[in-house]
Amino acid sequence: MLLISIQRFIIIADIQKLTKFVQGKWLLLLLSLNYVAGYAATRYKQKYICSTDTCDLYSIAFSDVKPKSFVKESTVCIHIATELDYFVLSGCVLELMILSIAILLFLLTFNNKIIHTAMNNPPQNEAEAREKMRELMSRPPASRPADFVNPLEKIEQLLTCPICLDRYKQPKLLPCQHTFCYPCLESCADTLHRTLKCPECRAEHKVPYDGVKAFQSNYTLTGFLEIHLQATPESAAEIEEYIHRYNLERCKICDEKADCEPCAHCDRKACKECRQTHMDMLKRDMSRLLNQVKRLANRITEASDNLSKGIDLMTMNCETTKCEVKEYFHRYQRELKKREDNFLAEIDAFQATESRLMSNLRDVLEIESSNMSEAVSRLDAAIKGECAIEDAELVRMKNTFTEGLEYLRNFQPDADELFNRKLRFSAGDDAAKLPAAITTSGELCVLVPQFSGRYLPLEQSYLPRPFRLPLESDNYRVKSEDRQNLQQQRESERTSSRHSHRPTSAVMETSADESSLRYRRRQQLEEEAWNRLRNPASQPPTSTSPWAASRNSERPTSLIVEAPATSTSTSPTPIPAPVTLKSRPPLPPQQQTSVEKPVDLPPAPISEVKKFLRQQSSNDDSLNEKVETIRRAHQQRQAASRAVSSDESEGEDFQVSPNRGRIRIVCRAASMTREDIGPPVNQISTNMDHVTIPVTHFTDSSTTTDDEKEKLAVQARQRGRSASREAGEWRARGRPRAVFGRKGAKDGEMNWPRGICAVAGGLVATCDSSNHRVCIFDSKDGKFVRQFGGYGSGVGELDSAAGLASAKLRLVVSDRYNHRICVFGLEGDHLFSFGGHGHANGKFNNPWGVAIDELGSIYVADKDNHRVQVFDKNGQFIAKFGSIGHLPGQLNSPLFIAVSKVTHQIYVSDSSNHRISVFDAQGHHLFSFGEEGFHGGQFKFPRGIAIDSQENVICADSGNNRIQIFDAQGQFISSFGTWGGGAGQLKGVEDVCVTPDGSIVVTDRENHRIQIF
Amino acid sequence: MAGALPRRIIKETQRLLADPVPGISANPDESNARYFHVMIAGPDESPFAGGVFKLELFLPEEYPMAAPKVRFMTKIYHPNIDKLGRICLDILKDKWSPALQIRTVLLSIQALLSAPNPEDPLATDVAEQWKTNEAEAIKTAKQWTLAYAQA
Repeated sequence: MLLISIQRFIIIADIQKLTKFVQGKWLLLLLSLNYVAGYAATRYKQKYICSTDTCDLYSIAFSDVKPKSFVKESTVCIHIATELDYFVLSGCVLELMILSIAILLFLLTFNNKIIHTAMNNPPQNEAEAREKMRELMSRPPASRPADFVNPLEKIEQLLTCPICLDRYKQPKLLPCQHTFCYPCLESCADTLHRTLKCPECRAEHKVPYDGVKAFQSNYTLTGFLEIHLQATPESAAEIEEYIHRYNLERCKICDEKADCEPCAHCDRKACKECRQTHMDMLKRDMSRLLNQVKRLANRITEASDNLSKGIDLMTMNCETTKCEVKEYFHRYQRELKKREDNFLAEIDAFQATESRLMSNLRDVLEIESSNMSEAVSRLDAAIKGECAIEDAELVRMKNTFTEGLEYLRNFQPDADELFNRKLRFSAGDDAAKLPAAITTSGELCVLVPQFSGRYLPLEQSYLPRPFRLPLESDNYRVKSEDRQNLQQQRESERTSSRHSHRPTSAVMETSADESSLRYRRRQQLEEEAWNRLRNPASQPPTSTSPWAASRNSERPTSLIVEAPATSTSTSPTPIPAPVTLKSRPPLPPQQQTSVEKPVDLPPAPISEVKKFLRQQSSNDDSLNEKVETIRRAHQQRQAASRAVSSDESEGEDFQVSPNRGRIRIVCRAASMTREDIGPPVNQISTNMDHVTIPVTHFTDSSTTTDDEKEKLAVQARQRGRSASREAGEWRARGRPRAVFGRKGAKDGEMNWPRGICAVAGGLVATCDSSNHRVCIFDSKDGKFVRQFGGYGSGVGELDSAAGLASAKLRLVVSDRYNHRICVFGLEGDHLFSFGGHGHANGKFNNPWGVAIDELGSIYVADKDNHRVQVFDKNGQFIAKFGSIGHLPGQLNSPLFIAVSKVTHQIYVSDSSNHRISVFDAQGHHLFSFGEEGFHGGQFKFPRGIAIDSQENVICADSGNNRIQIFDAQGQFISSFGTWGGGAGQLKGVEDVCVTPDGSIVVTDRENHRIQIF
Repeated sequence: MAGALPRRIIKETQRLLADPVPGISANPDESNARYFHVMIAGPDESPFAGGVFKLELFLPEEYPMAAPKVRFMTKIYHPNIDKLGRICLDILKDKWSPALQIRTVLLSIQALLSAPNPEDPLATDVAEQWKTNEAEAIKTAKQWTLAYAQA
């Protein structure tokens, strides 16, 4: 139908305008071809390919672009075109139809071919390649490229007799495996000697009796020779293809011959499949990476979200804290006001009564005086005779006057008592305490124990790091104690530069070298953060600066001189017996000193103001110290900062440091640092109510504590001991009585002190683990007494001893890396040892804490076996309990043990479970307390445990750098200590013990010292 | 020469012409297909380097059962080649094998130029010189090459 309509159109076109012919011819042709193609498509069921191909073919043909491969087809088309020309011109409809059918038939006969060629015709470049190969094959072998081999030629060679250089005729195999034609061999053979020398290898063979033809026929070759290889036009392509494939390079991956191209992935020449596989692999990897990135990318957004949340929270928190502060101070203002009113009322009352009394007296005296003057005037008159007086009256008057005279003579009113009576307000003994208490009262605590740790996660997300690395925060968990010990040496060298930003003691260094950069960066960040925390504009005050150490040693003496001098100046008119009106209003709960209001307020000298201001700024010293330590780590910065600090310190005596409105943020017990580093003037306020801390090194023999101070200290201690276990009292424990030891290997120095225990005779013994020895100190003043041990695995030698316990003149030491327990006498004489590496009964794997009960049984925390073993006093195995896990009764890296003397309960610091587990004497689990965290009652890698006489459990919360106190049931009572290097501050607290006098002795591991609280 | 040329000789000739050995050319004489004009280039790193030596090669009637006859036409100072150009080469004598071809023979001669063997001399005086004063001999060989073997 279509065809007909077109034909009609053409006819009309023909009649009307011959010019339209060309167009019509085009259309017709294309449509006819479409028809053909459609036909072909239905036949071959490859409609789309065929139709498009053929159409293209013909349109190309018509535009006279004649690619070589299409030459035949294009001629066909042209032929069709001419036919059409003729036909159209003739204008005969019938003829047209016949012709078109003819054309169709004509095309149909060709369509097979057309489609075949259209589909199978290799692309032009392939044709080129083939041409090239043909050319190569035609060349003599010598001029071909080395890698080009014509396998057919090789086969032909193998089928050629080396003698006649023709195809083998009756190939005969000689015993030497060479093959020749029978006729050739015949002519070679030496008929005379009946021998045959192989023409290839010259091997001499005997010719058989029957002659050369008796040699073995080479049937393999015969078989090959029978293959009739003749190239036909059809097979030529296949053969060429074969040769082409034969000469292809082998894929370096799958070893198959193929078109090889260098693979971008592995840089080897590989086939397409292998490359595809590699790319797929690569894509999979990429998608995995991408997923990881996507997943991890959340961290950044989360962090920023959290930060913004954190900002809100902090704002809220600050607001509430402000309110609390206001509330608090308001309350105290009220208290103060009340107290003031009280005093005023008292004074008023006093005044009223006194004045009444005095006026009464005055009235009496006035009356008396008027009486007297009346009597005198009467007597005067009588004597002068102005008036008559009876004699009896006179006599009576004489008596009266005699009495009066007597009275007047005796009338010596106590002037002081009567007229000079003074009311004076005295603040009492602790007059200076109040301002001090006010200035020091209260503290803002940031309730994150690891101060520097807060900036860690942020910093982590700043730093690009490989994806496969887990975040460092995760690392904290993983780092094991062992690693810590392995790196001890290195770390301890670095401690000075690092201790300012060590978040928890359990945080271990990653391998130091690679992370040093990170640390530096972190330090910077931290410093920035600190500076931000303070007034960004203000230079950090540097009163702590480098000579602080020397000042420490001088302090005590200078204090003593200073203190009385200033105290006299503050109470200008000391009155021997002041009339003090002591009223006892309810004391403010926090202030333990009785408050007395001075009537004559101290004249508030400027120096006093200075003092407060100084104090205020010095309160920042806990910060300063940190900043300072950070700074110390930055060598290049040090010079600059030192210059600044020297400037400031020069002016510090005169300079009233401008109140910058900073808030003092100190961590608990950090107030003690004020004493360490504050200028001496501060001491007036602090030395009265605080126990001075003798910060001594054993070498400083000059640092003797003043007697008075000592007394105070003793008093304070006694007070502390006798006090009930109220939280506030425990809090007072946050001030160490003594701090001693420093890093080193000499006497009195320590390198990573670990276990500690009280030893009979007022001594404490500690495991100086990295010096592999046990050191014994005086528990009062920290004086070094003796040491024993030494590195090794022999008798009496130690290898990273950790735990220590003492009872009945014996010292039990866990010789950690020798996996044994050594028992020493108190003098360090080795008694015996037991154990050995393993997990059998009585064997250890990294034994840590030890404990001894009343019976002398030895309890050992077998850390890497995750159990506790019990031995009798001779080291015979008795029992064991615990296995790895987090369920009740299971242990994960138990570190220290304590045994209650009263209940015989066994307290185990289940370190990696962040809890304390309590067992009965038989090893049955009773209960556990604590969980991971930094709030009161929570732990982070708890370590040492001690039990005091009140059955309170004192626990070294190592990761939180604090000491926590619990009652025997595990109820949290109090805690003290914070991260830092000052007195009362801890870095990686390891073990605690309680001395017989109730002091708590703590090994401050990463500060390499011991503190006694 | 009587008789048709054996197919082997025809094939060898074709191959020699189509796929010549580098440094060697062998052309059959126009009148005698068994006679070849051969040119061998002196191998590099031999005293004969730079020279082009003319040889004649004749395939006897028995060929390939007998060795071809080869002779240097160019004067050469070589212990295994005498004044007449005869060559002392085992495969041309007792070690001939019908599996050898003109091509292999010529390659062997080329190798002989590279590695003179004075222990099996043909020109005794040359061999003597080669043995006693190799440097001098090599010098002479070079001189001769320059003098006689220039194309």
